[in-house]
Formats: sequence, structure tokens, C-alpha cells
Amino acid sequence: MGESGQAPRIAPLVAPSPLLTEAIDPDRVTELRHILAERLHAAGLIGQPLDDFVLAVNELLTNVVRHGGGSGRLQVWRDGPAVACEVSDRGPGLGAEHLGRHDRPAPGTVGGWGLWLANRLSDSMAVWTSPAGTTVRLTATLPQQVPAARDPIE
Amino acid sequence: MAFAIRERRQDVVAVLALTGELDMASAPVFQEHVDALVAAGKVQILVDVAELSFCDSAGLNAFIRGDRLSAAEGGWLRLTGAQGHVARVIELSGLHEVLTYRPEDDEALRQRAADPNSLGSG
Repeated sequence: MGESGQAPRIAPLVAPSPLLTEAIDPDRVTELRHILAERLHAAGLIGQPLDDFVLAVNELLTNVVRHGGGSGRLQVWRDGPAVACEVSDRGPGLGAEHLGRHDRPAPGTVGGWGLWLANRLSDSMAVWTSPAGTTVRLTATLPQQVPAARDPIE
Repeated sequence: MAFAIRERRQDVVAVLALTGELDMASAPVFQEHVDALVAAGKVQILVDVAELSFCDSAGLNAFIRGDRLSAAEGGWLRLTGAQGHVARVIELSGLHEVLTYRPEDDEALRQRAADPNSLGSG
């Protein structure tokens, strides 16, 4: 508290701009993927980068249903020149064998593709995991916006 | 688009044309179809993915499982016609190296199917 009696105002330099917050449910993975694709497209992600990022996030949603207790939360927001997407669950956490592994599974291997694809098809991936749950955040850089043409100043 | 499978016969080969999206919701439908084919002794399976608009890790796993299942009975499962992002995912995963159907492999695959003990190239 300052002497003026006003609480200091703490704000992020760039306020997060939410694009989507949804509950993850085992029966909604396909539907959530469609909603996500629509929102990301509206935010400016197009073409192969859009398809890549939608698949990356889809893998996280699938992991929640398969290994993360079945339910969780999907959050998407605009973060400056990128979009960020965070998937959280309250599952038992990821084992060490899933972390720090960047090599592609051998072709023809069953399993192990989800996190590898999520990492490969996004610009950054961060994982927080504990026995109380897992959060994975992915980002994708948006294509550079072409500034709107201005009328010449007379 | 909803996932669907159309099956036709081409000599001894079962051709499965997939449409729509192959994900964790639809992959079990595909797996059941392949299981039923193999159980009925139809172990040479060509999967046409030209009309498939989406394929994720659940789809990749389903293809690999299907090939293992049919190979255990002397057969094979191969992919053909991948387009767009489905082709990209199949290539990134390296699956195109092991499961792409090539007409020049046809004879080798047929021989392997005819004689499960032969060392085919497939």
C-alpha cells in the first residue's frame, strides 16, 4: 500500500487476450478440435501452420482423455505475435520416460507419438507435471500482419 | 465430416476407402473393421486415405496395429493416396517408409501372403 492509500496497480505489459476456454470431456475431443480450429483461424493462423497447431493441441486433448484422468481444461489466448494454448488435467502426472525425449519414435512403433507430434508441430512446448496433474503449453507464431493502408495526409 | 469406411474387393485384396477424420473417437471403428477382416482371413488390406481430411496419433497407431495384426497372419496393411496434412503427418512420423503401398512391391507382398515363411521385402 502506498501512502496515497491506493493499491499499486499491477498489470502485465501485454494483457492476455482470451480466445477460448473450454472443459475437456472424453466425448468432446473432435468437437473441441473443430472449435479450436475456427478460433485459431479467426485469430489469423492459416494454412499448414493452422493444421499443424490444431493437430498438436489435439494430441494434448487426446492425452488428457487417455492418460490424464479424462477431464481437464483447454485455454487459448493471444500472446503478442503468437497464440498460446494450454491444456491442464488432474491426472497422475507424466513419467520421466515422457519428458526430455525429443527423438522421433521408430517408424512402426505403437504409442509415443502424441507428445512428439505436439512438440514437432508447435513453435514452443512447456510441460509442468506432478502427481496432482499436468499442464502443457504450446505456442504458434502468427503470420505477420500487414498494416492497413493509411489514407495519405492532405 | 463424419468418419466412414467403404470396402471393396480387388482380387484378394480388401480395399478400405476412408473418409472424414481419423482421431481417437473414430480410430476404434477402423480397428474393429480391420480386426473383422483379419478374423475372416482377409489379411491383405489396402487403405485408401485420399479422402481422409485428418489423421492424428490415434490414426497412426491404428494403421500400425492393423499391419501387425495382418502380418501375424501372413498378410499386410498398406496406405495409398495420402493428401495434404494427412500426407504430412504420415511422412513426419516416418510411417510412409514402412506402410506406403507401392505397385512395384505388389508381387513381393503377394508372395509373402502366399507363403508366410518367405522373406518378403515388405
